[in-house]
Amino acid sequence: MARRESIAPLKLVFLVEGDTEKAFLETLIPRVLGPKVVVRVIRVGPKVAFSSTYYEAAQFLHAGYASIFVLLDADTNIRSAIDLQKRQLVQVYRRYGLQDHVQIHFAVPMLEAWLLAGHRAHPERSTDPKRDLARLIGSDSDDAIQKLTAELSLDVARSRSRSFDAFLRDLEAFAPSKARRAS
Amino acid sequence: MGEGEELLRKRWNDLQTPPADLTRSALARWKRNRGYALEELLIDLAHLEGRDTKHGYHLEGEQVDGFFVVDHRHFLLEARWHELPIVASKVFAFQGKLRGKLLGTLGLFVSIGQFAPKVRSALVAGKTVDVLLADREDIELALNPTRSFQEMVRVKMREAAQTGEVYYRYQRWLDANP
Repeated sequence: MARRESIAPLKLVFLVEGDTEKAFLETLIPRVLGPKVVVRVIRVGPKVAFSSTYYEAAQFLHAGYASIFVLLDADTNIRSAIDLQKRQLVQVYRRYGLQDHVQIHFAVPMLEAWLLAGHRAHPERSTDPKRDLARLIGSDSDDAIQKLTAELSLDVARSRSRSFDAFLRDLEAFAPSKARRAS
Repeated sequence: MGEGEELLRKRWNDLQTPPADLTRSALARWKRNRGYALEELLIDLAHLEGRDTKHGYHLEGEQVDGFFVVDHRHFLLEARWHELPIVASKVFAFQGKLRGKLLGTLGLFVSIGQFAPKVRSALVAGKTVDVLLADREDIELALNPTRSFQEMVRVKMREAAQTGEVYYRYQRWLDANP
């Protein structure tokens, strides 16, 4: 009987700030990459702590994870300020030779704007996406975030938020059909 | 959950919201007392877990909020519950208390409010790393019946030893090590 090679599931790590990002990603990723992908979401905490995440990134890559996604709130929509934040983080991973395995993304101005993007135009221009989202869904509980994420029209949202579109494009590069095409 | 843990959890919950209808001065007094109550709660938590502990005490010219031992490392505690973020100078002042104590004594600085963004980098840039930082989320997890204060301290100590990170959150470790 021919031996069947087991196909290892795709494993991805996401380094995020807090609970909202975790609830969002754990609902979004199976929608984009299918249910078989193994996802680990790590709540790092304040933005300042991300400069020490190289250690976890290296550990997870060593453990067979395909890539590390770093997702932060930009807390601004000024392009030069976002680029500066990104360059500082890229330097951290470059110092340890990890830059090719780490995808750094900033939600502009914050993750709530991505969720708003399914419901209104120009979400990146919102001065207070948290408040606007709270008005829209009446709660910022994990359940409410997950429900909104499950119902989010990805095509509409990505057409209204460049930062969300960039994140989805990098994520979709790991979609099983693309992986097969690449191999 | 044990009776002691349940009691500590209740004490923690009682500290979250001031009683209604306090005058401004009574509210200020309540907040001041909340800081003392936090110190006691943290030391009681460590004691409940069988750690060698001592409640806050005065030395000549300084106040120590508490003392505990985890994994044979001796810690001084500083606990703050301020609405404004804790700035680096407050943590440096605490570091000063570690000087003049036995070499190797460490500090745990707990702030239920936030730390100012530069505190973490100010503490490690070219300096001896001897203070670990903990925040509200860390303490809430440490009070969780399935987790512990000593595990929280151990996780922070381990990370600081490996990478120099003094503000490594307990949740981050739990997410990475489910």
